[in-house]
Amino acid sequence: MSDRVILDADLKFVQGVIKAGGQDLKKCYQCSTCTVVCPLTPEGTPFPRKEMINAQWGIKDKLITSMDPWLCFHCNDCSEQCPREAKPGDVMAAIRNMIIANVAVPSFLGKLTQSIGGSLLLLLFPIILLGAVILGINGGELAFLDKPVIVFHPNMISIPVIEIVFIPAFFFGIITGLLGIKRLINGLSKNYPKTEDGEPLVSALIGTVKDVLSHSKFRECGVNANRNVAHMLLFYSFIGLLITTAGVTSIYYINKIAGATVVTPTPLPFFHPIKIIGNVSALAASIGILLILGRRLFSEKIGQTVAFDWIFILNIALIVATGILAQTSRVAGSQVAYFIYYCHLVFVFFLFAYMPHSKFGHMFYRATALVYARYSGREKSVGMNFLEGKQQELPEETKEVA
Amino acid sequence: MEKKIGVYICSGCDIDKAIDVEGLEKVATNEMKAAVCKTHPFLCSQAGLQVMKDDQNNEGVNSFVVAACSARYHQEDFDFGAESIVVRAGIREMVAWTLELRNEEGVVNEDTQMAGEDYIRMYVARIKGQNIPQPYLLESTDKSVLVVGGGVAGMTSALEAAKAGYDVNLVEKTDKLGGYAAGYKSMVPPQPPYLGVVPNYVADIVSEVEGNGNITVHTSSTIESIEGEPGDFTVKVEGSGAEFKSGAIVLAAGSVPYDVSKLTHLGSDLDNVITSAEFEAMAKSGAIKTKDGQSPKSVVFIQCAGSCDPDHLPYCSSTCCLTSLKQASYIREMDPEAKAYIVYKNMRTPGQYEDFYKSQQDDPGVFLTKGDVSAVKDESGKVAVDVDNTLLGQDIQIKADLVVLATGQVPVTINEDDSFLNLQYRQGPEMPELKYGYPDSHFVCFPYETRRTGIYAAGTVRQSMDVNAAKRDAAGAALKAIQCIEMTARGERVHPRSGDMTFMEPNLQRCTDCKRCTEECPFGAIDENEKGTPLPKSARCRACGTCMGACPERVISFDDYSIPMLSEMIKAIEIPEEEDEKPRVLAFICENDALPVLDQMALMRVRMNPYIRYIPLRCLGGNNLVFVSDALSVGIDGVMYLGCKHGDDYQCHFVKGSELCNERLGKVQETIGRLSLESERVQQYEVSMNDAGPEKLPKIIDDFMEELEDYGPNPFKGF
Repeated sequence: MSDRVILDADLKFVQGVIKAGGQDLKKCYQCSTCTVVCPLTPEGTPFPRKEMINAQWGIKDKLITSMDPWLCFHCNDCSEQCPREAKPGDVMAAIRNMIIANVAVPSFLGKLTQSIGGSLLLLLFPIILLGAVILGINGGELAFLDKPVIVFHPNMISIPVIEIVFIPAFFFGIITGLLGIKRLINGLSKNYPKTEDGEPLVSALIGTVKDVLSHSKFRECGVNANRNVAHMLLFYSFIGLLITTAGVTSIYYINKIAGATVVTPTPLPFFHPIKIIGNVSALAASIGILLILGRRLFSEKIGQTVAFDWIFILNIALIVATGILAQTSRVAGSQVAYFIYYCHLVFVFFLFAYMPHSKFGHMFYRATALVYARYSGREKSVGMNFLEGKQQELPEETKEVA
Repeated sequence: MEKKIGVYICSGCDIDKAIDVEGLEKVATNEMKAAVCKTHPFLCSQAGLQVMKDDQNNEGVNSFVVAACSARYHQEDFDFGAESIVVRAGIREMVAWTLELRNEEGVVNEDTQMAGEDYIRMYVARIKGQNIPQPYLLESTDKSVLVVGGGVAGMTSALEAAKAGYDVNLVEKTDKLGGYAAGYKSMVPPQPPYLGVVPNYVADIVSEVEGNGNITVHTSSTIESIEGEPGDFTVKVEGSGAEFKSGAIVLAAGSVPYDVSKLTHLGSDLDNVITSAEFEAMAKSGAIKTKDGQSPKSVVFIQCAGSCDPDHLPYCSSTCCLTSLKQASYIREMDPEAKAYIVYKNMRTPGQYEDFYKSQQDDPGVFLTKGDVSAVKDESGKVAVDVDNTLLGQDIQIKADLVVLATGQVPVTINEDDSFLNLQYRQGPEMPELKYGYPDSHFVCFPYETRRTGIYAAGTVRQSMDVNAAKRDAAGAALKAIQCIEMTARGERVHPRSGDMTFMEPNLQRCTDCKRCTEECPFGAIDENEKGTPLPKSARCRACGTCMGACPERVISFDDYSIPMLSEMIKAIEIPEEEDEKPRVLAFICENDALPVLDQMALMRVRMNPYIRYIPLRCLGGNNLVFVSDALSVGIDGVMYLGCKHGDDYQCHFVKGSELCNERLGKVQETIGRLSLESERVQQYEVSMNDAGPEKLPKIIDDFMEELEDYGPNPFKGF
């Protein structure tokens, strides 16, 4: 009796998971085909079979403190093989969405980001804030529109002002993200005490960074094997854009501190290394996001795409689009460039400020869970792919016999 | 009839590769004195059959011994009209395809040839003992159907028979038609796409029955008595007071839920623990409430409540899962926030009801898990259900407002004090029962058949089933009833010897009133008077011959099947001298299973022992111990009986035949003792279609032959 738990199925949570992308969740009849075909699940207490019934019953406590949804990369090998078309892959994604909604700090942001309406509401904040700032520093007029040469900084908004707005937004994202991570770890540590298989924290961190940089988990997928390409393009282009931003900022301050133009000022010439990094990254990002958009729109294998996914995808797409358009229209000498750049700033603000509350939050939580998986010792992947063309390499001797 | 016997030997199908057919011809004409004997290389061809027809027309041949393939092939080809007799010596299967072929020089094997010749002797002897069947015809055959029970099955049977143009009397004990299912709130859908529940449609069936001019409904009525036989049952009804004739009967008396008071381990004695029947009634009345009048917010359905449980009902009722899935939707409709839990051992929704299961499962408020319910307790107004081994990976407890026990079905006939048919039969007033109390003659192969000829069980009284299955079942039973009426009118037997015109005919002058036949008839076909003299009801006879085997005075026979006929076949077998070291064993084989097994083995060309001579019986129940003494006294070394499995899960087409044969052989010592022979020389073996293959049957025979060797040759050889 001591092990017996009193269960009260949480209908609201079930409906939440259904809404968050697990619409076929109730079709599962627990055959466990999914866990058998999953190329990523660890051997002991594998997923996603148990997540399926926990989600069917709305066992919220268990699900939002579970590490396993983060070990799932939504390959959809399971959904492809599921005899009931319950789409476990989509359910795992929905559970991740529910986890974000529940661990994000402050909670109301985590809830608002789940819907289009909520996100539009959140978008109002940077629209008004940036609009007010631009109008404020320009004395309530859009006089910069009349200047002969189109330059964003300082014509429309100066770099320090951008920093005054964006650095707090960025740190809001980071700090609330860290608080969310803390909440996540609290849950994880209860469910997954460190075992003897666990790695030291440093090694777990390094291992995870290596995994993330190489996208090694992603590549084990069967059905959506090439999905890692788009993600990789976006991942590295974001790093590139980060370098670009840091570079541009540095140039500004170097010149400012030197009191003279010691390095080439912005706008940078086309073949400036930082400009090249920026443009290549922008190109890579556009290809990446187009691939993702295309697949989300036209591929059935990718699974369910819900508001929470679309908002993030569109956010990235709009940032990339406005970024490129701002530059091209500026070069073309169109005044529209100012408006596009304003939009670009709004979308970037949205991305940064709501980092841990939107789907972008997976960056925090998945990374945390992956580190914790190595740290606690749950990182014992089966590493087998049962789907065609992905059979595990046989040892030499066995091959000869075969 | 003056018999003119013609023996027709086929040399095709490789028969002449094993047998010297000229040798057989000599036996037929010289030894057995057949008037005509001819060989044809392709006897079942037009040309071959024409030879026989020409002899029938020109030579007056009226008794045909066809020495060719097994009797199971070409039955219609070898039919020369009602005024002729045909017997089939299956030398292709029993000799040519299972014994040694000619050697490389083309010389026949001696044992093979002996076997072929023996079958000619046996079948000429047989045809001498056969007569043309004279059918049993009723003065007039009543063609109406009596249906007992006015539920879905009974009403459907009545409608189907009525639609086919037969008058129906429908007797229902309550004051209105509809039966158990009339009390359902909603029903599982009867047709694709099987999604969601549908409104109760029993009322539609009731009005259809009431509007059908061929159906006379007797409500608040029960059967006072039924006597007679198919085509001529006299039915007295208590209640409506009617008395009428019926040609056949459908018993559709239904089922009751399992007695829930036995399920205290599932909390059946607790306040808020009810049965699915009680829950359905509440839902039908419009208000699902707990004991204290509250609307339940959470309901746990416990599946297999007393089912699939060796201490209660060992079987699956196949409907309780459907019922709970259906009832879960009642809760969810009543209150969108209410929760329905279903705890099952195995979710069983047979056939396309899988789609219904899926549709119910889709509801977010229906929570399913496999699990074992270990305790149901009252806990401060709630019912705590402990479930072990769940799919949730741990033992759980669910606190519910209401618990529904999904109980299984039990046939109403299980209560021996209740009467349904009141048959005025020597073997008792009701249907014989099988395992679990269901009246049924053969669960697997012949679902509608019962052990009372002309009476067919349908619906949940026959087997636990859902409403839609009961409708199909009822339609089938109605057609069986009609078939029985029409065959009886033609003087034919019904299943399994469909179309056979013969029936048991006792020579009462030599009868000693021992009652063995009236007691042992598997179909209760024979009544008796106060003295115990049998009063055969011939339209109830299934012609299995069990009575013939039972009769110690050997006075029961059929027109074309009798003890003297079989004895002559035994005596026709040529017994080699002891010094030839060629034993002879007689094997009686059941026509229904063992004979097809042999035919199968022949198709596989399995080499069999050449010393066996097979005699098919309609059923091993027809075995009379006189055959043993006949065989042993002419020098046959041993006797085998190859028949169906008996016991609880018997496979005998005539229910008890192989079992009775076995019982009789238990007393064989008396017979054999008189001859001072070992009782081990006589053995019965169970053979089923699964045994058709080179392993099982040849091994049975080889082992038997080996055992016989220990006892040495029968000392009666040569007498």
